[in-house]
Amino acid sequence: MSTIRLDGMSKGFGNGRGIERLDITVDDGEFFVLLGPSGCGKTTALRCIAGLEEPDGGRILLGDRVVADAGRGLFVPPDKRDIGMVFQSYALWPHMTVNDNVAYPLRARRVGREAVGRAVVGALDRVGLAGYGERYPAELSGGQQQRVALARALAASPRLILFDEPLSNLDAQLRARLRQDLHLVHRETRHTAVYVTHDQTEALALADRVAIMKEGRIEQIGSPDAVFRAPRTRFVAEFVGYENRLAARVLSVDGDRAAVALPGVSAPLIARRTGPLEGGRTADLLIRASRIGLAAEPAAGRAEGQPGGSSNGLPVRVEDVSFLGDHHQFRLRTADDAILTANIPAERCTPGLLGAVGATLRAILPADDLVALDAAA
Amino acid sequence: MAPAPFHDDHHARSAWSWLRRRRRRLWPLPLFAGLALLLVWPAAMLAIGVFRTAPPGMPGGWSVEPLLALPGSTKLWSAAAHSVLLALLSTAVAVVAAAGFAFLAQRTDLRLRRLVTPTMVVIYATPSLFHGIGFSLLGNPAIGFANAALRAAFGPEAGLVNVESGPGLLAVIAIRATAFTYLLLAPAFLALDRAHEDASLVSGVGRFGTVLRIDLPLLTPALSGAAILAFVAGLHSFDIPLILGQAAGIEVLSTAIYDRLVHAYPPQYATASALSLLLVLVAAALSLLQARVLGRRSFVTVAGKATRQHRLRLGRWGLAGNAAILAFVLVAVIGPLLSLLLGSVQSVPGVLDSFTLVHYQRVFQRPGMIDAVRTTALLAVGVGALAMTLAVLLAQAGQALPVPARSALRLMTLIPFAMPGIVTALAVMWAYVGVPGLRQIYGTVWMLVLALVVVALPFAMQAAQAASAQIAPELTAAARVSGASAPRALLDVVGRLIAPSFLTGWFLVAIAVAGNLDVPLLLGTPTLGTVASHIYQLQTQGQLGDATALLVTTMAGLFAAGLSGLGALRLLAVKRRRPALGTPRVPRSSTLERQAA
Amino acid sequence: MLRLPLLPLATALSLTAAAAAHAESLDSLYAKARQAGETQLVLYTPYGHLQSVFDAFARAYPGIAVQPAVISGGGAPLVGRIAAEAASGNHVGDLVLSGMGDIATLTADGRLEPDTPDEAAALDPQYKDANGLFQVPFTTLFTLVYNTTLVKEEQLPRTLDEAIGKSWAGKFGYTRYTGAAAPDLVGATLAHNDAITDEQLKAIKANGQVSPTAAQLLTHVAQGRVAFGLWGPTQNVGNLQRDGAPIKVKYLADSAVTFGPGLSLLRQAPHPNAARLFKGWLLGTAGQTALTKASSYGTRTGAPVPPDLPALEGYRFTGIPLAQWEGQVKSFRTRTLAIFD
Repeated sequence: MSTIRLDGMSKGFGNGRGIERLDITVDDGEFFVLLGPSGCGKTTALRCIAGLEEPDGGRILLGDRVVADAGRGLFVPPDKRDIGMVFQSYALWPHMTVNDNVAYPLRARRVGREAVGRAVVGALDRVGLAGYGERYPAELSGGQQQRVALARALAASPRLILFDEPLSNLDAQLRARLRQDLHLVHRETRHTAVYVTHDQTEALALADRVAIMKEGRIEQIGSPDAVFRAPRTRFVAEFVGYENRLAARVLSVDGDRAAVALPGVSAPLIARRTGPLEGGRTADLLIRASRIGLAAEPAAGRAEGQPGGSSNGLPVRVEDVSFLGDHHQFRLRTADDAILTANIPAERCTPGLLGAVGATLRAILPADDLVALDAAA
Repeated sequence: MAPAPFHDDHHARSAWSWLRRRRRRLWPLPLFAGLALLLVWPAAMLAIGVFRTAPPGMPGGWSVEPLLALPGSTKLWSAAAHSVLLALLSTAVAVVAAAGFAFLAQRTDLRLRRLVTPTMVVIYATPSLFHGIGFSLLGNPAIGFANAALRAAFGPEAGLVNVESGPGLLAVIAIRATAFTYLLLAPAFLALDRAHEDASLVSGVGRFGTVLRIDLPLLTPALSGAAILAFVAGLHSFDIPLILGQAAGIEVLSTAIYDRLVHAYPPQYATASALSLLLVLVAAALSLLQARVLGRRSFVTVAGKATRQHRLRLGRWGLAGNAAILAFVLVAVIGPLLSLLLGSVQSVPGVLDSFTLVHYQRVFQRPGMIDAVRTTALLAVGVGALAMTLAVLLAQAGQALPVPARSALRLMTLIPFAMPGIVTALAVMWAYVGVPGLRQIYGTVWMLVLALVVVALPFAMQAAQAASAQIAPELTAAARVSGASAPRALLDVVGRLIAPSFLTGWFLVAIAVAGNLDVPLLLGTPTLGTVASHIYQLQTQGQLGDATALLVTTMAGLFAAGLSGLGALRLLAVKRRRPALGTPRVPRSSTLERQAA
Repeated sequence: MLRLPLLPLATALSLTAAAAAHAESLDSLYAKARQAGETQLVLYTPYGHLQSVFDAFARAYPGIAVQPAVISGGGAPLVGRIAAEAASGNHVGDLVLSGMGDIATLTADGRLEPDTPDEAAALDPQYKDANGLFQVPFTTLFTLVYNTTLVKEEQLPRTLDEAIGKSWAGKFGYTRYTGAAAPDLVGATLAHNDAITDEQLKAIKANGQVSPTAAQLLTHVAQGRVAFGLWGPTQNVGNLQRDGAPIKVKYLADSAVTFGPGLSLLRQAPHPNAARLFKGWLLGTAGQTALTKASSYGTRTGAPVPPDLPALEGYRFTGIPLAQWEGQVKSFRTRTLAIFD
């Protein structure tokens, strides 16, 4: 069984900040991602799981085994935890060949020479580096080095593989490719994995479940889909790519819908709530730039459409338009002086729209894409 | 366009304009000339001196006999064997001990681990003269304090410690070599990428195995470089074999050279020069090897994210580790220091009955003592400044020169590394006394200055290189582009930035000069002595109490100077509480800055 | 050889008269020195026990300080220093006070300036050079010195053979032979009197512990490293005793040696008047008395025995005549080289 449990784990950073009571359970074979900005404690949590650092409080269990218990002073060193780890800087030993690097954990477990040879070949094969065995790390590219690091982590078939921002040092193209490879490898091997990153794309692409951390606490845990579509706090929403935020007042709540009023906008908007929300409270409205639509402002007196439909919008003045390849980015200012960013795909941008700088348009915020959070969340 | 008529009426000026155009490329010439005079000329004259039959400055003939007689002299062979053996064994001990201490200090949770680096710095900074006399008082077989303590504890037969023996000599040299090697190793240890160790740990190899399989192989270039330097230093050691080895009847090459110059009449200049040349060639070859070893692509990478390193918990082994550190501090620092203090207040050092301050009173009434103190202080400060300035100029010039000139410069600066102090003194004698006209400086303080600058140059260059490494070449370039001339840019940018490191280097060089024995011993005169030569002479005249009192006073003086220097640096740092040049500053309005200043 | 301290009255009277006349010439030297601005004189010597003598001179002639440059052991360092000064033309030293071996070498090298102060008339012929190149102002006794806490006087050996025999193996010290320093001169004197054999030298090498210099031999005895030392320079014993060291002198009649250093004026001395003044004063009554107080045996007829040292009863060795010094020292050196090195 290769489950992980963090039981009220805490660790101070020494500068007054730290991880407070972390409670996480990772299931057997699950790919668990810790997502958050630098300094949030995700790497520290990972290193505590690895045994490279010792928690100040709480317990860590790998499977049934307690590997760290601050209360009882129990601590199992990393070399006894049967894990594999991939580092941001690859950490390949420069004085050893690729074969020796990959064989190292096997030799540490005193596996016989023949078995070692076979396992190394198999591991290199799996990461697509068959035949590179006799090279030295310095002769490999960044992407190749990271694959070797992965092969090394997998070589001894440990119960658990840990990833510490392994793709951060690679350029964007390589990152995408390696990310897919990681996904494939995990599908094959089904090891339990804990993956730390600050990149939401990686998190969403790889995770079975993702935990978003901020300042030593978990803001939200859930499937990528849940987190992506239903962020529960402002921090999470902004982290997973909700670029736009508006202040509003809650008028009424009905099921998972809420009617909100924006200052300076006569008609209320319908939004989707993801957490507790009450009438009368101030709320944050969050929406992705790619979900905002733009239309001409209806002439005064014309009947409004159904609430929640195409009339779920507000007047905005176009301040700037930029061309970003496959879409145009519009900078919009609301009556309340808030800024909205809308990304409209190029094919939907009419010349009239593109020339609308300075004009007032209607920004459409579809209710399904408009998330309403209590302002205190 | 009509062709410009350069060639017809400019012949007379063509040479001058050629020079003028190349003026910019010729700027290193004075520097090279100065260095050649300072370094290459004495070395060359030393080589020539091997074949002269008369002392420097005296008319005489030429002969190869002294050189040919060398291989037949069994005494010299045994001196050479002693030198090599001492150097080899002390290096071996030093490398193992230094690596061990570095590991204990940086990777474990030993309570005493913070003592290690300061102890090593103190040992390294202490001139070996102090260790020689201190250990002699501590460990001589008859009345050494260590033996007295042992006898008090275990009975009159327990006198085990004998520093006046081969093993004793080796132990003292090994202690100094350990400190030297540690200080070379520690930065390399620090620079190890922790991720490499983490990767080994998570792969299933424990701490100790990780040190053996990962850290040490990665440190191989630094280790071998340090080992070579320690070996050369062992070959060159003079003060300690002089004080301890003679009592044990052990001669090494450096004391053999001194002996043949001072205790033979007529002095055997040719033989001494030949031995010196031998030492220099061996050391030069080794230094070249060391440069090559370190030049190879080093495996040490600069650490990436500064992750906090979990220190190895030693548990029961912690006791042994702490004990080892404590033992080293006791033997290497506290023991000799206490011995010196105790010896200076006894009527006859080693005779434990009465306590007296007469030695302190007497030693400063000694004729020539005040002059010696003044001479030492002047030399320390003056030579320190000269050597550091020269070293900084060399370091900066080295960056700006084309590759062949840079290699020539590096080769020249290898010479002081290869010459022990006694050889430098002899070479300077040949170089200046041997030349009519320059001969006037014999017996003056200038000859001491010349020799001491050469001796101090390796220390100064280490400090200068470390300091210069902090300065990106872009900073000087920026100054030049803004209109400053080269010397101006040097002074404004480099000077300001490296001021703290420059001062530190100056101080370290000053200590080395103040404690230097071989140069004043050979080049001083009975009326031009330094504190070190007075200490030695007092010791050989049997006035050990006075010698010890003088030693203690000098050490106290150096310590006080060091503390005040540290204090001054602290003050400087606090006053200049601004980000260092070279890091981007958030632009603020000048009014705000003036208000804040 | 020392005269017994009983003198014919006539000699005493003539000396007194002479002394009165010579005081004048010393005064004129003093005046000349002051006029020339000579405020110090530099004396090269291996003797480190003469500070009280220099102080006495400073009291007698204020304004001129004696600047001793103690070169331990004398010998090559001393002679080499003088040679280097001559070669470079930077003259620093005025006077040399060192063993006859060194004086002989310096004479051969032409470094010395003849100078016969009037006070030299009261010296025995063996203590002065006919050409005036040196005079011997005092002699030093070299004999057994012992540590009083380790050995009682009754237990001490009576003869040289007893001292260097098996019963004292490892318990006595001797000074290293380097060629022209004190132990070499002692040995040469004994050799000149056929009082030392090669077997005895070998026994010393086998059974004794070596000290690098004569002064350090005394330190080793005082520290108790050895029970006694052969041929210790007794002029330093007094200072050590005053410091509280448990050290004493034992006069071994069959091997004790006395000889004295030569005091010479160096050529091209920077302070010639002050140097001559000091030389003359040292050979006069005042200087000789000061020397006696400094544990040295004066050479002027009538000089008293130093208060803390033994009277030299039965001393029978003859000193080496000057002309034979170099030869004797060299031949003894050959013997020591063969046995010790």
